Amino acid sequence: MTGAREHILSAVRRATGTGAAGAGADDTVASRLAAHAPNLRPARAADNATVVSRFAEEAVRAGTDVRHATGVDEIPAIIAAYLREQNMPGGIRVSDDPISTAIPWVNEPLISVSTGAADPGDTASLSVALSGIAETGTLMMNSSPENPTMLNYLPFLHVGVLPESQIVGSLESAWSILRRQSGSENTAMPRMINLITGPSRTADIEQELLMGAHGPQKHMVIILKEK
Amino acid sequence: MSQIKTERFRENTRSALADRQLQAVLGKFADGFPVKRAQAIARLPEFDALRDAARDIKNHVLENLGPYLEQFEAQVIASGGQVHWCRDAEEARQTVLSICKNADARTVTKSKSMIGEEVDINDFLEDNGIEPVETDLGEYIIQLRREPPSHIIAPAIHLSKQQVAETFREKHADRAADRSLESPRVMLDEAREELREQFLGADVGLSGANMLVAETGSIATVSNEGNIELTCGLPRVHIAMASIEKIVPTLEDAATILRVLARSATGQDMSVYTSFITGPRRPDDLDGPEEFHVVLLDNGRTELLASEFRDILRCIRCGACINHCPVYEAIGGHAYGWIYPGPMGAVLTPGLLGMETTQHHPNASTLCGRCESVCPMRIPLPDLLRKWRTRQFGAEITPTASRYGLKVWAYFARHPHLYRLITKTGAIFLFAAGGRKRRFRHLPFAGGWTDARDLPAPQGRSFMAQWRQRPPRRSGGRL
Ligand code: SF4
Repeated sequence: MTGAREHILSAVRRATGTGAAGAGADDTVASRLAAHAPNLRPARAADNATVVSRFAEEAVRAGTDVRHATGVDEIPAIIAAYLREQNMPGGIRVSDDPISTAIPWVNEPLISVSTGAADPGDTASLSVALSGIAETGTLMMNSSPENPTMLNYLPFLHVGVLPESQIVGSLESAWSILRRQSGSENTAMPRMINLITGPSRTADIEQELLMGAHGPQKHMVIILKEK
Repeated sequence: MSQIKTERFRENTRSALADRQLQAVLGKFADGFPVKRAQAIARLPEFDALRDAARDIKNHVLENLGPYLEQFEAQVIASGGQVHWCRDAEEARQTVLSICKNADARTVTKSKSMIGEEVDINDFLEDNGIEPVETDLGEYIIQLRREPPSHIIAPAIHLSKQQVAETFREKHADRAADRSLESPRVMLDEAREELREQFLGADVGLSGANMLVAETGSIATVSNEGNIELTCGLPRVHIAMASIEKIVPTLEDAATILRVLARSATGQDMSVYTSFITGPRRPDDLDGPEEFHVVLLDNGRTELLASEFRDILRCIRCGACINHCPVYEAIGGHAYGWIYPGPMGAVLTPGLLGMETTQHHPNASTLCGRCESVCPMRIPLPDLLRKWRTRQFGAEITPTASRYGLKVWAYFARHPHLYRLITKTGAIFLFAAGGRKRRFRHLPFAGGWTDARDLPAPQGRSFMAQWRQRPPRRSGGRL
């Protein structure tokens, strides 16, 4: 509706006192976008030596099960133990990321591994996080052909593998990782960035907090220290 | 479902106050969100400074809204999406319908969207043979009951678990009639199962957006259930509905808003799921929709932008003002007669629907100021309510008796000697008439007060008289 577009934009311009060309305002906007400067960041979001322990602490507060692995070869045992503990079936859907494909599942023959997009029948999934945010214990997942988004949402259990070196203090620092990765200051955003802080929940019936609404009822993060 | 009944505010209020079930649920309200919010803020010493930063971001956006909207649009198109500008509710409804028709849609899954409520999209789709399915648990429950939401972040907060159980028993008719629906857990699991099928079968996903990021053309969504991502990610077409003031400049600015949003809303440091969605599925992606549409709605916002009510456009719909409002706590959300209740609603609703049918809203407030004290965007809500009252007076919408009363009062207020004489005489008279009980059960012209409570009798001397005779204070002391 081109008529609507012009109508709304000119009403906005009248209301804000910027002319039709809006040159002055355009410059203000362009320079703010180019600078994309962070605003105030709280002390607990600092990028310092304690980010890993702070991440773990905040993630646990949010209801995430945090595990540590030194090398991908420790991951199958961690998952096997968890599935047993939770009385869950032994199947897991795994992303095609270089880190996930390096996991040696042969050591846990009872776990059956599949790859590809999530299937409604999947009970557990594993994918690799782009970053972890210590301030709130939040995982940053980015969609890609290797890490399809629905892995994070459809199964009962989602496991996010988080390389320790990718843990930062704040969301702003995580955006920097994304901007660096895309190789340009202008972010090339993936289709989906999912920030995940704990398992799915709702309090819509009489304010009673329950885990496992539509997303995973169990959320695990494995902090991976490369050898 | 969201029919407008704002002009019935008085009647609605009366029945809400007499509704025992509602009053029981509202009784628990104050122990929920406000307590959690206070706990979350106690862990963040910079919270007030972050409120300033958040306010400054939105003020900057509103001052430069035109270029930001154009930038946002350009980035959506660059990432393969489409933007549809809509002046009003009707244009928005028609736009959504035509996208759905092009997609041959029969069912549409929906995640909670206040804009969807504002334009009443559900009824419209239904009338046009398309089935909308709400997927947020609270919205799902009220959709089954065909009720409007009673709170912007907790739409089913007015219901007891027994009512939810009855609803499920009636509407999930193919399940065993004698099954147990004792606990919220069992009800949640049942709803999850029902909705899983809907998610997988829907042709279109319809969502709202908490923010529109101009820098990247992304929409940002926030939820705790995970239903938004399933709504946006599984169907072939995704439509996001948002009003024009939802813009933030950059990803960094979005980070600042997120720091105040969840804490103010539910008392979480961060909601469980925050997603930034940019365009449709990429060439090698294994999932995601093939089409991505943003419906950008004005519906009265440009007028608010040009008015003395611009500040309300900073609102991020966190609900904190509602959660701390003594009026909301007494009457709940439905009494307001439309989708935006509490202080933010009392300011926004007259702006969107006009003053004529919403005359009670700005007046249903004691101006106690709690809303402003908790608003993360530092919106001066009491001040804006006062401005509506002034406008009503100017437009002669204020009822004749009140106008007359105000004029009489204004006359005396401008003549302090007369004012003092009257109050002095009045105080002496009421003191004498107060009787032994020192209160009035009925008073002529004051039925509005004495119908529901007693009026305490004055002590015999006016405040000014007592003030003049107060004992001398120690020097330098302050009251
Ligand atoms: S007015 Fe302020 S407190 Fe109320 S919903 Fe909006 S942002 Fe939240």
